[in-house]
Amino acid sequence: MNARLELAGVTKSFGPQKVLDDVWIEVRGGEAVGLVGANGAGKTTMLRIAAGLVVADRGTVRWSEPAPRIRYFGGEMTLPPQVQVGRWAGLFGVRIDDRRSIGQLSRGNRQFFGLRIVLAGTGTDLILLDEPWEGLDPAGTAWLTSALRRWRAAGAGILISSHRLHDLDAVCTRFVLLQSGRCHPVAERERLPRVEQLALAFAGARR
Amino acid sequence: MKSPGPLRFFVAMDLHAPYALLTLIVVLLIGLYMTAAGPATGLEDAVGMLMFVQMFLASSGFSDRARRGHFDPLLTFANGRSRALAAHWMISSLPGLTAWLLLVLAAIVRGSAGTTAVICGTAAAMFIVSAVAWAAGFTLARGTAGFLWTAALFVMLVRRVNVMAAPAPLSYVFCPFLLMKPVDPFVVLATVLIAAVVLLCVWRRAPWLDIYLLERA
Repeated sequence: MNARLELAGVTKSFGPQKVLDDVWIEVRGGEAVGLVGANGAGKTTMLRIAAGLVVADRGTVRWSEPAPRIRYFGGEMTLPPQVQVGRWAGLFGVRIDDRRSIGQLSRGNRQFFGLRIVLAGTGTDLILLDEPWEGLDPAGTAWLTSALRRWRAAGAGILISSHRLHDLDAVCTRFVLLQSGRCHPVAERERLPRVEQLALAFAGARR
Repeated sequence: MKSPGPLRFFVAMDLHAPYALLTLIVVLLIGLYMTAAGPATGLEDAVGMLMFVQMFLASSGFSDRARRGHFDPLLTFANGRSRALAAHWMISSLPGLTAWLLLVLAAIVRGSAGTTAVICGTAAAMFIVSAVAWAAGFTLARGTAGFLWTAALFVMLVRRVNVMAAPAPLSYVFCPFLLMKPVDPFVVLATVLIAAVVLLCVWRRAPWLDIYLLERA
């Protein structure tokens, strides 16, 4: 299977609320898939199912064989605030000499730090990022975009959810719109830049 | 980026509140004094105090922090959830069990009469507290299970409820302090097995545990 990740007919409910309804998506090596959708559309749940953190009620989640290393980052608020920066980095083999606790960093710096750890090294892994550009300054944004392009070129499969359409457009090879718990490929429209195609699809999803 | 080992990961996560560790140190020092210089029952009294602290330490709460995303890097890697949970239990119980070991060493050095029987009773009691407090606190915030257990014991003491009215092993699971008195070894074994089964049941549920994010939900 060339696909790093395949979600087939995945359905997930939390109590009476159906968050994902028969979702099908495939992420291949060397491609970056942008996941767009309104708040509450189920993007975070979908990424966490893809990371193996949330268990689907129905459907299957398949990873390529041998199982790829999954690099998942759910945002700066998922970092433990009381742990020292250097100690956290050391867990993942990254050397950073900083004795401050993660909670002492600014929001943007926490986000940058978390991404720096998750994207350290190289490989053909599966990268799952939830709103990765949130809180980053222009330098951080440029670094992330360039890092993701490098990973994609190296053959990694990437799935990113974001509302920042221009940043997604700079990295992703195709886009999927998550609406009412279902995935819809964003249609290619001639003579329209991709960001505008995304914006149109997004606006349609909000109506 | 290399994958972190579960034991190393949870050591770095500071599972215990600083005040709980400070309380443990104070109780350990008092316990060492009681064991080394006190009466013949010094070890039982010291471990009795230690068990109350262990109720809070071992109930370190897994789901609550996991659903804040703090354990994401460990649970995402293909380490196996059961291994991660076993490591979480070990690190949660480690400070209390280390303190117990120091108390036992102090009792051995002092050469207390009947130490072997007492050591076995306190070992069983410490295991039961560590297993049940951790399992009961699995889905709760840190220390909550310890607080609820202590409160239930206190209420039963005040109301003079006969704990032994329940079948023997269940009584000892609820009140493991009773194991430090002479008890039939088969009952002790049955009680330890019940606690082990409780622990294993939680580990076996691990693959089906939903680690959704509380803040993004």
